[in-house]
Amino acid sequence: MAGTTPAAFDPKPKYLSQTIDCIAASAILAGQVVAFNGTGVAWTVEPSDGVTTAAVVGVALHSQATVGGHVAVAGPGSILKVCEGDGANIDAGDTVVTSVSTATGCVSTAAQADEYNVGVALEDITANLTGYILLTAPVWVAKGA
Amino acid sequence: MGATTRAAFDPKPIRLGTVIDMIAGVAIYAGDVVAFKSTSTEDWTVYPCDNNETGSTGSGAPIGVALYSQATVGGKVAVAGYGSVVLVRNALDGTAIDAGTTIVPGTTAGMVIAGTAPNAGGVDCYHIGKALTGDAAGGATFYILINGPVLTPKGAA
Repeated sequence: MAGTTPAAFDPKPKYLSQTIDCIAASAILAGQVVAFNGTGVAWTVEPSDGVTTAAVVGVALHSQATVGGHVAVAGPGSILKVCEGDGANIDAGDTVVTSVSTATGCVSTAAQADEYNVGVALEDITANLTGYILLTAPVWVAKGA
Repeated sequence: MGATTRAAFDPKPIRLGTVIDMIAGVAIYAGDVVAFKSTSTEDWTVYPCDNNETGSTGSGAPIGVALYSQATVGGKVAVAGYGSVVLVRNALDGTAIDAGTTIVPGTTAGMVIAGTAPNAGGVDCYHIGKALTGDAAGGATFYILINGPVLTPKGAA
């Protein structure tokens, strides 16, 4: 199945833990996983892509089209919906990480490589669709030698 | 060193972080660390954790600690998860766990053991949290801060 085309959706939080007031480095869609760019700009996030982005902060609770505008980000401990990005089903209990496809702000099953964990799926998530996760990000996990 | 006998106990939370309304895949005791099956397709459904999964236990992602017992399969169980400070039980009687140790699922259903450093254990494992008090004698309960589950792959063979 093809990768997901990012689109705004309501992440419908069942529980909000830390919520962080961040700044958009680029346009952000509601429901996207957002992260610092690898270059690191204070409080500034963009849709995660697993390549140029680094530490995941959480999930955008609303869209922000204006660069430099504020965006509320649901952080660790929150329970909400994210979107599958690589076109492969995710099982309940799977560790999810940032998609490395063009599906920015989406997630996929952990490849057990060096990567940032986003959280754990609490239910099956069908390819290209949304489902609930427990956010545990940002956690950098190195696979070792 | 022997396995600790499993029994329900009050996890006496000092702080509750995220509390999740989960579904019991089998009978669950209060104080059990609960986890998904390793190849789970059961939404929101957990089993007592075990690093050697059986029919009645799960070695997938450990979500947290059951706040009460649930004898009915398919019944609801409140699980203290991310950010909670609760008691868990050492799976190994006679084996101490120090405060500050990384905690992982144990060899007895619903209990925990000390983890090794990430990537040094030779196995893929899930970290549940950090011991805050430790268990000098083994087999007893001790407080942890839950900051998992975090999958820590062992790396190349």
